Order: sequence, then structure tokens, then C-alpha cells
Amino acid sequence: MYTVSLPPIGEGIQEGEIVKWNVKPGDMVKKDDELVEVMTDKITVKIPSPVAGKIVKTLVSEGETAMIGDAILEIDSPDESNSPASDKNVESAPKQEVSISTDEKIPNVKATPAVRAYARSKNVDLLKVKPSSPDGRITREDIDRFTSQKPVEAPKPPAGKAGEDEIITPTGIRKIIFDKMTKSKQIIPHFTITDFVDTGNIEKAIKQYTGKRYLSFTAFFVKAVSVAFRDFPKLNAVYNESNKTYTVKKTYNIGVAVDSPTGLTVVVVRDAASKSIFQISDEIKDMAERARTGKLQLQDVQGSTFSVTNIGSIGGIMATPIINYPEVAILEVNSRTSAFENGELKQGLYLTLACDHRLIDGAEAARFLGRLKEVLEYPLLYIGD
Amino acid sequence: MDFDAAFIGSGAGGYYSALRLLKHKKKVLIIEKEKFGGECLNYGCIPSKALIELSEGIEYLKDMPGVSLNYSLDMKEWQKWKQSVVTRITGGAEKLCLSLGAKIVYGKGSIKDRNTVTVNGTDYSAENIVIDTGSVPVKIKGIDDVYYNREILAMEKIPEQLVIIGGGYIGVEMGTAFRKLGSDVYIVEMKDRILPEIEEDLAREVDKKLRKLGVKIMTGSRVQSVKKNGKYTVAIEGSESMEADTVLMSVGRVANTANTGIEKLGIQMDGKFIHTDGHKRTSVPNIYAIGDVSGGPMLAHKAFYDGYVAAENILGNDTVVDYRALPFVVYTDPEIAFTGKPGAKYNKVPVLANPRSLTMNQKEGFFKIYYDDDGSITGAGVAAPRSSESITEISLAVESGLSIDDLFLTIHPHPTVSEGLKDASERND
Repeated sequence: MYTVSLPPIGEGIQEGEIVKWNVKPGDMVKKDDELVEVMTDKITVKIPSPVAGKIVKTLVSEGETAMIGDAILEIDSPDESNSPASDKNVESAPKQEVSISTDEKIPNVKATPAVRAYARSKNVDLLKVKPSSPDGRITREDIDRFTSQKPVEAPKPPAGKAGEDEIITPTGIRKIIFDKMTKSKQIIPHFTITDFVDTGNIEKAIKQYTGKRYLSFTAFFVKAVSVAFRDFPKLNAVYNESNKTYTVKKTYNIGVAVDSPTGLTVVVVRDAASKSIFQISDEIKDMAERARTGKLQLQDVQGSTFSVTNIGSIGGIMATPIINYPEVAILEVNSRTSAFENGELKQGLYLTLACDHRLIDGAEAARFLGRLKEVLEYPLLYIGD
Repeated sequence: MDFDAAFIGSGAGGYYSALRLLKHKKKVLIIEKEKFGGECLNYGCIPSKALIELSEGIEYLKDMPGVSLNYSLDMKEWQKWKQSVVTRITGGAEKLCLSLGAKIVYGKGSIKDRNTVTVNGTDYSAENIVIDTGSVPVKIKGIDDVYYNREILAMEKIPEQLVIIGGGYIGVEMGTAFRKLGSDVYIVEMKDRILPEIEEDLAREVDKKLRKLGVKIMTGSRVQSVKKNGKYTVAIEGSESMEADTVLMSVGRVANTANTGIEKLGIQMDGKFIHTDGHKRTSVPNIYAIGDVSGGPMLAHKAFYDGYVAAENILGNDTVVDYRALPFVVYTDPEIAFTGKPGAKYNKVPVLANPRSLTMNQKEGFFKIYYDDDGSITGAGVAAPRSSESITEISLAVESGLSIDDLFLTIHPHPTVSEGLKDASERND
């Protein structure tokens, strides 16, 4: 009997929801035949069969979630002994490395091993503890003092009676959104800033190409941020939680929020700076279509460095977006409206930029937004085609 | 679930980790395919140190002025005694695990899915699985029928001529011991020096002493072929071939992952080793890998430590590995040991300045302490008698963030070898 486990699907992905079995007990499968569709990280992937054989039993039902490594299917296969090659006759010795690194950053502070273990047990970051001794050594007492100063958590409100009410347990994509948004709001101190942008020239450009070439409204914003990043590179960064640093990305991979039947999906326009406005328009259109039909690939949704969200096409004058963790900023494109600017009534929209205040200050955000306004109001000057 | 944790392998990391869980009343399954205690206890650390102690004891007296030594050595008898030591240690560990409620199954364990391990056709379910399958010697294609660490340590006769392929720490430890026991020893190393994985000044002390003992060291040399026809003929590129009655192959070790079932789960690898994060978790979060199989230095005390970290995480105490002061010892002559890492500065004092070493007729080597500009000790390298014992003091200093002043102001007994470390911590300014 060969047990098929849910294989690693992508970096950082730990679970997936079984959407649809393409096989049933009794079916014969060949190696690489598609066995199951698994939804994970906002997309659906198809898992091929690692062996040929007869399907015996599915171990996880449709709609259930399996962890990576979980047994999901049993196949009666002559190929069950697919063990790795024998260790004999290894041709060369592996590189012996004396030093080893770990994923987690260990704080380098003066404290005895017992004190460091005590800090771990209390979930205390030693870097935040002020040592009492003049030579900078942290003691157990310093940790106790630190924990006693921490604000006491407010008691949770009592849960309401279920009664006729509906209880929603986030699963699948909703669970992913649940976790990611919670993390973003808990970790990142957001601030938002808004400015008005006259979109007259964008509309003129779109009109000019109507019937000739497809040109999307959102694509202008995607391209414009990649122009503005040249002057404000820090806005295109990602936060590394493990060592509390930021990586300023030199490639601009712009996430674009797409409303799909399964929930909010962020598709990624890679290296937006190198692409024409037409290419970006086509890419967004293609990925949005595939999001709606569940045909996105993992690379379509991973690796964004900044996000653009356009809720304006649906409604509302203004919204305050939540940063797509671990990015440091997000741009909200709001509904078209009109506003007085220098005594003149103009057609356009409000742009809302939310930033991670630990890295980006208000002044920098305001200047970035000002630059965006400049680019968007004279798009052909900066963006061309 | 039948068990809180299932261990595949009862080596240093496995049984140590299991014991920690058992002491916290967890249900533990230990699967062992050969002998309880794994490589270290049965075939590696313990047997090799027994042999090294024997050779050092003999050499110690032989080398002492005024002593003439007539001795005979019955290796068969000695092997019996050594085995009794091994049995006492492994039996003790096994009994302790059993007395605390572990289930021990002998057979080859294989992961079926993330919560199931199969042994001898029976499935056992476990919340967590810990892979501690250790490592096996690297074998070279076309060179068969030679000795590896297990065979050389089980010999009932001291070889007349011993050719050692590989000048790493296992090869050099064995070369030193067998030379002292009377073998003609040849060490063939591909790199330009022996102990290439160890800081050069430490390795140089060993090289000097080995040559003084009469060991023939061939560095920058590549073995072309080994043929056995009664005796072994070892052909070396650009050099005359050698004859020997024993050839030890020690060119490294590689993770033992064959048939463990990890390929079914697609567990991420780092080359030939299982990838783990700081929690010692594999890419499947409830499956851990510890010790040699998870890469890094192949040391039993690293496996113990990995086992501790895995156990703590299984117990729900969020713990990550911190190898800032992982000691490394080579049981040669002089014994060499290092821990931590180099710092901005170092102090070095010779063994010649250490009275206790001189009473032992030991004059070779040094004590070197690394520290940063603020005086914090960052590590040490020691080539001196019993450096395996004294290096711990520096590991503790690094772990605790002590300065050279702290070490210097700690009263050391006199005369001791560890005084050398205190002397090396004295500020020169």
C-alpha cells in the first residue's frame, strides 16, 4: 500500500483545503495523473500521483483541511518500495561544516543560560529588557521587573449566546485572510494619509485607446507606484520578523487585490518597472480572470513587495486599507468623485496610503503620495506606453 | 493517538530526548534497528575513548624519563572489558527509559504519514515523530572491503601497518591511538593539512606530535585504489604504493535517511541532511530531526542538545537551538578543543607555562582565549592535556556573557591544567 501525503506546496504554506477529489476508490491511476485539487494560499493546486496503481481509499474529505505531510490517500501500488537509493557507493564526502546556522535569531545579550531559559519560558524578548547591573548583565529579577510592567490584558468579553445566530469558523481562504490580517494589524503600527488626484488625463488616455488596445485603470496605479519608488525606495520593502529588520526590495512586485468568488486574492505583477502599461493591463486582466476561474498558479500570488487595492470600483468614498503583511505600505484607490482644488472643481479620486510607521514617517509618506499625484496627473509624461 | 512522541533511533539525541519527555509523563515509543544507544555509545565515542585511554596510559609511562616498561596486551581480553563498559552504559540507558514507561521496539522504523510510524509491519500513531537515525560512513566507489570506525574499534589484534584514508578527526584520533599501541601508521589526506576542519594552530600542534611519534603523514595526497590480496595494496597518486594489513577509511559521514519514509512526506533536505528550523522541526511541523541526521557538526553532545530542544518543543515550551558555544574536541595528543568563535582579540599562553602540565611531562600546546573589545569572552582554542574537560569553563563563560576579567578573578585550584585558561584571561594592558 502506498500512502500519499500532502506534499510541500510552497514556502511558508502549512496546510491546504481539499477542494475536489479527481479520483475515487477503485480507479486506476498512472504516475502523475491528477489526484486532487487543494486550495492553499489563495490558489488551487493540483496534486499529481507519485505512483501508478489502484485507488484504495481517500483519507480526507472534500472541504476538510489537511496539514502538509498528512496522509490523504491510499493507493495499491507495485511501486510502494520507492525508497531512496542506498547510501552505499556515495561518490564523494559531503562538505563538513562546523558552524551551523538557524532560522531564528538569537539575541546576543549578557545573561547566564538559566536566565535566558527563564526569559524564553516567560516569552520575554531579552533585547527589550533593561539590565539593572552596570555591566549590562540581565538577571532573573530584571525579567520579573519587565514582565510586571507589561500592561495587563483586558478581559475578553463574554461570548454571546449562539441561539439562532450563525457561528462562522474561518476556514480555507477566509482562514488565511483571518490570520494574515490579524498579524498585520497586531504587528504593524499603521498610519494612513490621503490625497486627491485628478484622473482626467488617465481617462483621456484610456479613451484614446478604446477599441484599439486594452488599457486598465488599475494598471496606471501599479505603474505609477513603480515610478515613485525610484525616489522613495523604502516604501517597497518587506519586514523580517525573525530578526526585526526590513529588506528594501530592488524589484517592484506589485500585488493587486482581486475580488474572486472564493474571497480576496492578491495577484502579483512582477517587476512592474520593466513592463509597459499595456503589458501590466493585460497581466492583471489575465490573472483576475484566472482568479475567478480558480486557475491561478502559486507564482501568481506570491512574492509581492507592495500592494494596490481598488475598492473604488464597488463603492464608498474612502477606505483605510490594511497592509499586506510583511509589506510596509499599501495604496487604496477610492471611488471616482469630484473635489475643489485651488478653487477649481476637478474630477478624480482620493488615494489612501497606509504605511508601517516603524519604518516610514508621515513626511515621507506625504512626499511619496505627492509624487504619485504628479505621475498620475500627467501619466503619459512619466509612464508613456 | 498511541503515543505523544515516537523516536526513530535510540542514539544519543533520541534516548536523551525521550528521557526528558518520559520525566514529564509523556507516552514515548522508541524504535531501534540495531543496538540501544546508537553509534556513540556502541561503536563511536565510548569505544574509541576507551581505546585512546589505553594507548595514552601506555605511552604516558613509556615516555616518562627513568621508566622502562615491559608490558603485554591481550586485545581479546581488553575488547571483552570494553564491551562490558559499553553494555553497562547502553543497558543503563535502556533500563532507565523502560522504568519510566517507554515502549521500546526493535526493528526498522519507517514513517507512513505524519502521525504514523511502521515497525515490523505494525503501525503506531504518535502526535510527534522524532528522527534520530544518525549517520553512516561515506563509502567510496570501487574501494571495498576496508575497515570503518566500527570494525577498527572491534579489532582483537593491533595492526602492524595501518593506512588511514582521511586526516579528519576520526582518522587522526585512531592514528594516534594505534601508533601508541605499536602500529606503523600512515595518514593520507587530500587537503594540504590534517584536521582541515579545525583552526590551523590547533591542528599544527597535533601534526607536530604525530610526526614525533613516528606517524607518516601524507597531505595533498589522493588514494587511487585499494586492492586486497591477503594484504592491502594502497596506490597513491604520484607516489609509491604502500602495503598494509589494515586500511581504515574515514573520509566523512553522511546522514542516514535511507528507508525512513521521509521521501513520502517530501520533507525538505539540506543536501544530504534533513532540513530543520531552530526548533529542530522539519518542513512537516510535528516531525523533528535531531543529531547527525539534521546536519551540523556530528557530535553526540550536539545531538543531546538537539534532543533537549525537540523535547521542550514537544512539551509546548517554545525553545530554539542556540549553538553559540558548541564545544568540539579531538582526542589526540595533545587533546585539542575549541568552543565559541574568534573575537576581536586573543591572549595565548603556552602549555610550557602551566606547572601541572609539566608534572605530567606534557610540554606541547597552548591556551588561547578570544574576546571582544569590551572584554566579553567569545570563545577559546586549547591544545593541552585534558582540554576536553577545561573547555567547558569557556563554554559557560560564552553562554553567560562573562568577560576575561570574570574568568581571571575566578579562583582556580593549583596546580591544574585549567589554570592555563585563567592565565590566558589576564589583561596585558
